[in-house]
Amino acid sequence: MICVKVLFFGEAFQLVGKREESVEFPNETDYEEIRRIVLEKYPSLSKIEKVMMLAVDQEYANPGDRFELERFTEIAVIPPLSGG
Amino acid sequence: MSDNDWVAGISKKDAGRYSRQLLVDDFGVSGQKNLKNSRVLIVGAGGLGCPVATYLGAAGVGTLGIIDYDHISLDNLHRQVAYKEAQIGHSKAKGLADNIKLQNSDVNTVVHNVSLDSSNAMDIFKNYDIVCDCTDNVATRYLINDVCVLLNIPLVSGSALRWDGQISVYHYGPECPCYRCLFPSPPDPNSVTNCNEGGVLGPIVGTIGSMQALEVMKIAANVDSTLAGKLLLFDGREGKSRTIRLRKRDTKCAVCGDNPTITAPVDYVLFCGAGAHDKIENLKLLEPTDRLNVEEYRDIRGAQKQFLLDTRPPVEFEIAHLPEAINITLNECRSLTPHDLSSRLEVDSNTSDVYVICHRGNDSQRAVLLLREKLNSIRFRDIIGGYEEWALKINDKFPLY
Repeated sequence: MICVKVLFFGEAFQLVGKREESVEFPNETDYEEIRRIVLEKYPSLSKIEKVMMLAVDQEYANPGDRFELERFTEIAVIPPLSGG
Repeated sequence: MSDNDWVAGISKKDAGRYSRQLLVDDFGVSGQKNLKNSRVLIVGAGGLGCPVATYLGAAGVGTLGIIDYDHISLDNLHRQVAYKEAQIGHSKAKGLADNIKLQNSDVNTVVHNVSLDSSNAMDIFKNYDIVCDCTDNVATRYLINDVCVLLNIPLVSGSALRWDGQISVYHYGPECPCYRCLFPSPPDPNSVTNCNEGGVLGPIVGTIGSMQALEVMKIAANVDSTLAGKLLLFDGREGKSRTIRLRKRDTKCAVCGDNPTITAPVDYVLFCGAGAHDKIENLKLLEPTDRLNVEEYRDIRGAQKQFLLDTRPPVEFEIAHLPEAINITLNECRSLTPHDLSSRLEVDSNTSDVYVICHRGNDSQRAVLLLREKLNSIRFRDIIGGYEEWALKINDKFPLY
């Protein structure tokens, strides 16, 4: 297992109440597992589950993508903003 | 050679007016001419639309179309910086176009003082080369996206809320995704916060709107390295920005995929389950017997001091509240134990009635549903229309926001 930084943007920050936090993941993981661990640790995010993008090291994560996480990997939780 | 001959890339008038941007590498004379030949449509003349239109007008875009059905109001002015106090009540689309014309009379402005929907969008959009999404609601964002894909128009999309902004360019190049590739299904309407509820700071929309204008200039001038296929996240609170590389176009996308199922605009209000505006909908979650109007509450509190629970966030409570109000937010109503709720409210076993108030009367109903489960010996009732109604009917000096 490895601890990496998870960042919460926009509404995700409002729901979690933190801009970032270290979370433990398996070193070798995939999109589905990251999503499941994030939603289990932060159940309030279920509200935006349908529109929640994940980015790993500033790159959009697609279903099925596999990742080897390292100490400085950043995972971002990004819902859309609609105001203007 | 005669003194009367020269070779000009641009007219003397334009060279004089736009000299400082003509001097910029990779923009230059060809960029200026391309910009002058461009027709740009701005959807939404609000916090984003004001800077987008102002910068593009000043830079010398050929045609600038502006769509907005709404009117300028006092609470727009802190962020919609193109408008003056004297314009309150006037049409936004016309007000913004008038201001652009005053700044640069060479710009051809087109005012679309309409509510954009599936019936008129194709006809309006087909006359433009680039579209800017400066709107404030999800339904219109899907409509704009779909129409841009159907007419093959690049879309420069900006959004903002509180301290945060996002900007991306959609449907620009064969690999570039559209909004639907990223968000094939709309958000749950209850999970969407708009600027009316969450607030927004002027410089946040100013920053994102300015970046949208810049992206339009790059696309119009045919300069590469746009934000196509990327999403820039701006965090104004921390002073940070991050650019996420997005997925490629989804070949299975309902509108821009290889076998699209959407071939004409659909019903976006139905699709999103939310209206094509950012106004607050009035919910009816409680039976009439669990609610009372502001006049009834005035009479009750006039006779005797009452227990009043105010569910608004502390920043709103600080703007103004009734003196007897105790601030326990909707989230706290959800998370606090019955014991903690009782002690915060300072109620005891003899307390029979507690009234619940919020800004406009929606959260107060949600709170009543939570509170009556936790403290079932007390009758909780919500005040219909909240402080907004109080200000309208009981005391017009109470600050509206």
